[in-house]
Amino acid sequence: MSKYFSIYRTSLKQESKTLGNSLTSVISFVVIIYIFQQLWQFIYGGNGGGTLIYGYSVKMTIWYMIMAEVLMYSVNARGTTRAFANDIKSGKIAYQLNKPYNYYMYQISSQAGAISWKLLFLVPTGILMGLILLGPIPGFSIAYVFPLLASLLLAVILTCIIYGTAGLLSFWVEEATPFAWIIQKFQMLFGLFFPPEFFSASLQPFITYSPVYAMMSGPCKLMANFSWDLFWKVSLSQLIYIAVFVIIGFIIYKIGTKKVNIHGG
Amino acid sequence: MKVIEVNNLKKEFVSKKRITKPNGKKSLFKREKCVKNAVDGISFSVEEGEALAFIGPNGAGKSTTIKMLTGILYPTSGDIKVLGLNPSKDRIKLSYQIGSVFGQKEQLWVHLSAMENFKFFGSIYDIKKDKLEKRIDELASIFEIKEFINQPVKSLSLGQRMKCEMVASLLHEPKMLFFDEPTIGLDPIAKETLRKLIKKINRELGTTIFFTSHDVGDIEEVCKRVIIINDGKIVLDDSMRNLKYHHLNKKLVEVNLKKDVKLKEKDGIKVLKSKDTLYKIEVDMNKTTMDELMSLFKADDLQDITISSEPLEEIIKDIYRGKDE
Repeated sequence: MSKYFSIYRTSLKQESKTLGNSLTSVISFVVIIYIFQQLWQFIYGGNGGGTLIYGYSVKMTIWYMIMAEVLMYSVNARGTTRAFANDIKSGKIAYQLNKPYNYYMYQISSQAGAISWKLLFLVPTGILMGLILLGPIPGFSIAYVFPLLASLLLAVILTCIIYGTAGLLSFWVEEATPFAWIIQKFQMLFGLFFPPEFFSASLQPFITYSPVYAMMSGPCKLMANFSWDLFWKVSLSQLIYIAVFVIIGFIIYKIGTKKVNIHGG
Repeated sequence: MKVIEVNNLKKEFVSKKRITKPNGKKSLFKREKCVKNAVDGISFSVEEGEALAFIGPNGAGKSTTIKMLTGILYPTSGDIKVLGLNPSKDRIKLSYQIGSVFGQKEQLWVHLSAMENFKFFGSIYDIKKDKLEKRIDELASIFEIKEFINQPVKSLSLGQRMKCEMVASLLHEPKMLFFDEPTIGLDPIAKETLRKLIKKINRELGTTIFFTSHDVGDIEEVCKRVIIINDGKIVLDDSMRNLKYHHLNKKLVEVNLKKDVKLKEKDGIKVLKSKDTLYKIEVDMNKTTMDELMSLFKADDLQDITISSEPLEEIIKDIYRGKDE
């Protein structure tokens, strides 16, 4: 595992050299949060204190949205998938496959390093924006910080693994990013814009048991309205989906490396 | 000791293409299998410490062979043993004992310095800190990279970057190094420097070199043995010395005579070009001698003569084209 930690650390270091990119991303993040905050204030009719939509006050909805945006901004979904595709298409994978590590784990560790760097900016910015625009989360306790961070980390790890697994499809198809595009749209539709309760009763069970819940809705709900019951439920679903997608990833990787057809041989 | 043993190695690439119907149109759904034999039953072995050039025209199967030897590609059939290991089964184990440098493909993290990269590779190959520092220092001196070792890789020239790529591939003291066109895109001075370094690695560190390149200069300078592959088959396996002296049997003779003489072509003597008193003649030394050529004109008529060998590149081109036996 020390090798993968070394890959993670090196990737984090490499990201730290692109401070300009990170700051640009933060500016865009701030603008998006502000626009959505204004939008939700409008939807709630300016009566921020009293109106509830499906049990969510305006403050809860916006804190949900802040967490969702942190998750969306931290994982470069298509970039993660493309990292695999580019290596396979360009033939750079030839360098990666003859190193003493598992290439799939290498990419996941490397992406995790890049994500951690982004989180260093996005989490404080999100919290600061929430506090300035909305004030503290209702009923929030300092004891929730650690479980919230754990849930956030599990969510980004799972997201990274899912998009990475999609990237492994490049062993078969020329371009795997359309798969990432489809996953991302599901993630946005059922996780980013609205909490699961905003959907019809018939759709809710599908969302709750889908990977989107573990990737996004679950941790965001925890941010909006923390409970230990919910935390354990979300964490369990995250761990199960991480295990499932890692297994799928390893199987695809094993089959894929036998099929690999590198340019120029 | 043999470090590479290859027996009847084959690699097929299977693709599918749309069937053409009797009316000349291509079928939308029906496809037929196309099998390309990239490597077609080759056998060879490499001794420890050898510097071997594995060359061939584009699509000949050389990169495919390298990738099978390093465990990246799985062979369709045949046996490979590299340092006693089966590359496709023991890829990770083998990776500790081999290194590879692929031209125009980078393994370094470009935003980090060469030094940071070397430390990263040290941890990947489980090299202890003090041993790694010593090794970096030793290789930095050999490759003369101390001057820019702390600069970000992205700011280095291609030649400097290739040197760093080579150092990164040598940190774990590999017994074998695979080079796949390492000098591609380099200027003549950088090429020369890199060739000298590869020679040094082979001679001083005793590392076995497996080298592919389209640049004949690379092969001529670095390697002692050459294997030429074409259409997936080995067409020549010989020492560089033999290739040069056995195949360099044609001489180009340029003579300038004092007066216009009608030169008669003989078996092995062919006038390629003539203008006034200047003649460009090809002499096949397997069929004739220089004396025969000189007998075609009087020594007194000779004003100037230049004799040169056919460039090695032309010989290799002829072998690629199948002209040479």
